[in-house]
Amino acid sequence: MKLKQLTFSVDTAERVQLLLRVIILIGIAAVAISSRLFSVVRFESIIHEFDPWFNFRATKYLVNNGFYKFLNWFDDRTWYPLGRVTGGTLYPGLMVTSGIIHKILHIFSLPIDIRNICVLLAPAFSGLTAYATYLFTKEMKNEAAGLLAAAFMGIAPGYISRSVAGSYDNEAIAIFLLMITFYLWIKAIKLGSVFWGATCAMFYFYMVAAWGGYVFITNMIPVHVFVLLLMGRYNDRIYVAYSSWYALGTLASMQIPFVGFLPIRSSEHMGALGVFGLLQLVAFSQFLRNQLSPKLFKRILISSVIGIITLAGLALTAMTYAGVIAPWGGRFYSLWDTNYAKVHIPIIASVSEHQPTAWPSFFFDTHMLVWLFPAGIYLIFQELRDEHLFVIVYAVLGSYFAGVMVRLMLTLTPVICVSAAVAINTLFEMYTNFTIDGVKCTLTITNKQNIIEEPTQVAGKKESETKVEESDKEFYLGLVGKFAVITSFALYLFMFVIHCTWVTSNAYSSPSVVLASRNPDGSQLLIDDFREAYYWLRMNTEEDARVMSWWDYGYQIGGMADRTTLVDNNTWNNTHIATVGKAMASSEEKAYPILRKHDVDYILVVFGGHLGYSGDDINKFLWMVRISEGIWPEDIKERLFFTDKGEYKVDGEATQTMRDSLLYKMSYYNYPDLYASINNGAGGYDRVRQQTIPMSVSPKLNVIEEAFTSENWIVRIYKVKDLDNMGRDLFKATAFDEGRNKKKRKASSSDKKAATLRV
Amino acid sequence: MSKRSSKVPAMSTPTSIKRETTLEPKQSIKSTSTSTSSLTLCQSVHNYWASATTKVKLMDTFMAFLVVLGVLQFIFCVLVGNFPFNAFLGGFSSTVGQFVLTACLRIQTSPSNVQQFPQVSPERSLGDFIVGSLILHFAVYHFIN
Amino acid sequence: MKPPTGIIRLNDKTFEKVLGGPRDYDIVVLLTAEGPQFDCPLCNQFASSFDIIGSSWLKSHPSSDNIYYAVANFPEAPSSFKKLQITTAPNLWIYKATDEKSSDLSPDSKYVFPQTENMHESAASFISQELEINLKIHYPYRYDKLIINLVSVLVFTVAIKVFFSKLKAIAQNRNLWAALCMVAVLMFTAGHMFNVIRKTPYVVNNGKGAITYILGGFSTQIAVETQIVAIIYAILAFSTIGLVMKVPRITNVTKQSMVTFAICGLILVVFSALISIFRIKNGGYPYGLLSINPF
Repeated sequence: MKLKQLTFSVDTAERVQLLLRVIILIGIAAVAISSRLFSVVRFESIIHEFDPWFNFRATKYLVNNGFYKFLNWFDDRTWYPLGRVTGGTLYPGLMVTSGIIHKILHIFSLPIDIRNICVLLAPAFSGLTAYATYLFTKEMKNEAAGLLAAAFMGIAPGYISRSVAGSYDNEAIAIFLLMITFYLWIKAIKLGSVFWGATCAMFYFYMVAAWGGYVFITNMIPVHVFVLLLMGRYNDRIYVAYSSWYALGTLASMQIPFVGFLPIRSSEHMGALGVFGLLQLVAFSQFLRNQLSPKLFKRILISSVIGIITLAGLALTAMTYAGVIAPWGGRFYSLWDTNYAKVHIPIIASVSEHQPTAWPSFFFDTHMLVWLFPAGIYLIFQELRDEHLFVIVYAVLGSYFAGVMVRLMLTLTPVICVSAAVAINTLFEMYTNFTIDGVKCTLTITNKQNIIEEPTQVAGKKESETKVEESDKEFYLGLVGKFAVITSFALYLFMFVIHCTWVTSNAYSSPSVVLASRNPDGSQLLIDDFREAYYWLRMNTEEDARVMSWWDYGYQIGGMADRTTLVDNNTWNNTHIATVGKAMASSEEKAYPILRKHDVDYILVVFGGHLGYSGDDINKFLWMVRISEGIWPEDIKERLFFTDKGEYKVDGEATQTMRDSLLYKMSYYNYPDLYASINNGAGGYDRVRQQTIPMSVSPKLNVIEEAFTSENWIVRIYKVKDLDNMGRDLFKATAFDEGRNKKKRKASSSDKKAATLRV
Repeated sequence: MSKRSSKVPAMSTPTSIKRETTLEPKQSIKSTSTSTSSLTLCQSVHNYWASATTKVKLMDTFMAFLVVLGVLQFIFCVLVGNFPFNAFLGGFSSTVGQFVLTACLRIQTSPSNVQQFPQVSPERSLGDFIVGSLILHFAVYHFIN
Repeated sequence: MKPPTGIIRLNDKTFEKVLGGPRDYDIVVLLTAEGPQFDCPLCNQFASSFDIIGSSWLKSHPSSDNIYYAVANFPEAPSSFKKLQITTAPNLWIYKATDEKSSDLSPDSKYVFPQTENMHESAASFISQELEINLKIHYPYRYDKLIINLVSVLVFTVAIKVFFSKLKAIAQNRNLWAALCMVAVLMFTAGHMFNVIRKTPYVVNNGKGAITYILGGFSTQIAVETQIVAIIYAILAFSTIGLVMKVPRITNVTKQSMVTFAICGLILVVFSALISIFRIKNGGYPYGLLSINPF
């Protein structure tokens, strides 16, 4: 009877624990989702930034036209006049996901607008990410650590930065897929089952469909296997897991049109293939070892190893030289050789996401977790089972990549959360144990570690027995220390939560389409210039008008204004971008033929000088110059944009080339006049560059004319003039017009002179 | 004493072979080594054939068949050209994938590996094998169009 | 003796003779201010680049083909500098062949020093563009480097051969690998790659003669910051590890609680310092622990 009761109580305890775990997980998911809704609450349900606008546009196309049309989508409204084979050059995972959700909801007759699905997709998936992190950490340590990791993952700003409501980007679902794929991989390698390997391959396939960062998985898993092999930890479970994952996953990943044959051609995927081959050989040699006599086996092994290595090396170099295998892809290569991108691909270097990470961003994105991270790594090293090696490899590679590229902070955040959770969990397991035999517990834990460190089990046992006896006597003194540890760490965790909330609400919840600022009295002021300008374009221009702008705004113009663009954020054609850069950087005479050739009707520039918005085109100007200099070094020269002293000036000291350039003229056209009455006619003050543009250099336009300027001058749109009716040169025509105006104005200007003299 | 005496000739044979190999030109090394290894190879093949069950033999034959098929496809691709590259790749990867899956099945069902796969029973591994093969061939089918 | 660089050194006497014209050759002149008394890092940096350019030209065109390279250092030609009203250095000017005598010695074109690292490439492309020649840079072959590499490879292999068993033991030492991984992770999370890629200076002057250790600004840093932050992270991480691994093993309970308190205090102080440093970087950050600011 007694025994029965006991088992029953253990059973209920387990059930209660399970229930608690479920409740906690649901709570974590709820917190994760709700903390990402700041932006919806603050602003409105709107798509953010740049890339999401394209994804949104593609999703709308998918929902309206169906899947097969979507796959064969040729978009003639971008990259005018080239167009873009959009269906074959995107990762369709995100759009298909929201399309399917849309369809399912409609089956249940819930007519939710596709835009709302897109906006809320990222928060919904963040809840799932927290769950996947829980599963992953559970495999590493235990359920409690899993819950902690899930909680960290749910609120860590490093992940929130890419998954707030409205940031409808590939990363929104990719991080969930990353974690679930890793979890399934760990599961597969633990159990050695084809089923888990196949599931892992299926999620890998989903990941390939969703994000270009799948290459991270493609290299992480082989590296893990390779390290295991190097440590002599080969077993058949590894063979089963890796072979089934690689064979199915690679084949499946080649179904994505954009990926195509890359997995067998590009060097990024060669590591996985190589490890696959290596594993086959190792498995075969194991098989032979069982069948053959040791001496014979050794002889065959050595000769075949040498033969294979030379053969493989020769074949690889020959194939790379012959061009069968593509050399390293540019974007990925920039991770390894950090100078490569800067020298060879200015377009990559120009994107701020590809910049290296300074230490404050690490702290900003993970707060205290960043220093618990190495502690967790150390604790994981103490156990070092096969799956722990995975975390270690992930930690080192992930932190390297995150250091090289700001964007990859995202892939590092999960492992930071996992190992910090392991550290906190181990700490709390020891210091929150208030039962009498609590010390015994802690000691058995340390004792276990002893055993792993030194296999002399007997000595370890003896040590622990003596310890238990001693510390049992004076147990209550240790209590104070426990309280100190628990309260201080609880305080830090509390601070972490506050930090995360603050960061989320202040740094990551701005849609960047709508800017927020504060009035002098502290009330919030929304600056909605972008949408104002895009709406103007949509309403006031012909439907097939072609709008030229720098590529950053291409997706937004396509998504919000629905007009044809020349270049956009999918930077597939460097030459075309350089053409736009050349038009912006040349003088009007040189730019006009380019504009005519590309049938440009309107030019859109972003100018932040009035408001102090630093992400404007003048600040990006040097990149335009550099990119076009890369293609036309004889026409565009970067040094001509710097003054003799090597400074980048826009005021009276600006170089002639700078003042003549189309972008400069468009940015500052009429700008000094705005300040005419403010600072005694000294000129327009640029708040971003903190320089004053004097009246004397106020630009004059000949071949284009101002069409629209938004409320805060952020967006300015110019119309390209048609050829003159009377066949005149446009410069002469403008001069003629001005001459007429001057005559009219003469009287009034003489009045002004008198007025200034009086002062 | 008797033990020692018995050991001496056993030790001497490899050393004598070694001497031969160092003195003689390369060809003789090859011949001697292949002759000794072929002898043991024969023996081990024989051992294997005697010890293996019918199921294992079936799987091994299937795997050997897949290897031959894969090699044939590869040779065909090299000699004739890989024009429908999808088709070649689909065929080749289906053989590789099937080979790998069969190898997994063979490893998992082998009685000597029971302690390595505590949670995978032979029935379960057969089920896994079928699921994996279905996914594989679905992907291949889709790949070839 | 240095290898011949093919560069003419000009002084006040020769300056006008060479540059005044008429002449049947093109000449590239570097007007510089070398020497410790001039605070001109760019001059010293460019001097070696100019040497490479001159020697490269000499190597591919042994008879110089009517293009010469000259350098005029300010201490050697002060009056010429004064006459040309040069206030900044360095300057790279090109004088083309001419039949006329020029009195003001103004050059045909001036090179604008860019803000890039490989200056010789950019200067060489400028010169070859201006003079319409093909100036290809030959880097002097470093025989010493080759020998050093060979010797080190040899020593390395021998060392592996000799100490194989010891090396194997080291390679299988778990703590060593743990330490390596932790150092790597600490360096990377403290922004080491930023320093490598951006080639940040180690410390900077704050303009008052003292040294700035922490640069304000969220997305910039200097190399010493990485070290400070990495050390802070390391202290915090090892304190946590100490709480988990070492404290429970202390059998003397008084000592145990003392150590616990000490570690907790250490974490509190160092974490506060970390947040204070972070507030220098991010001015708007509202939260803090104890207000400890070492910098």
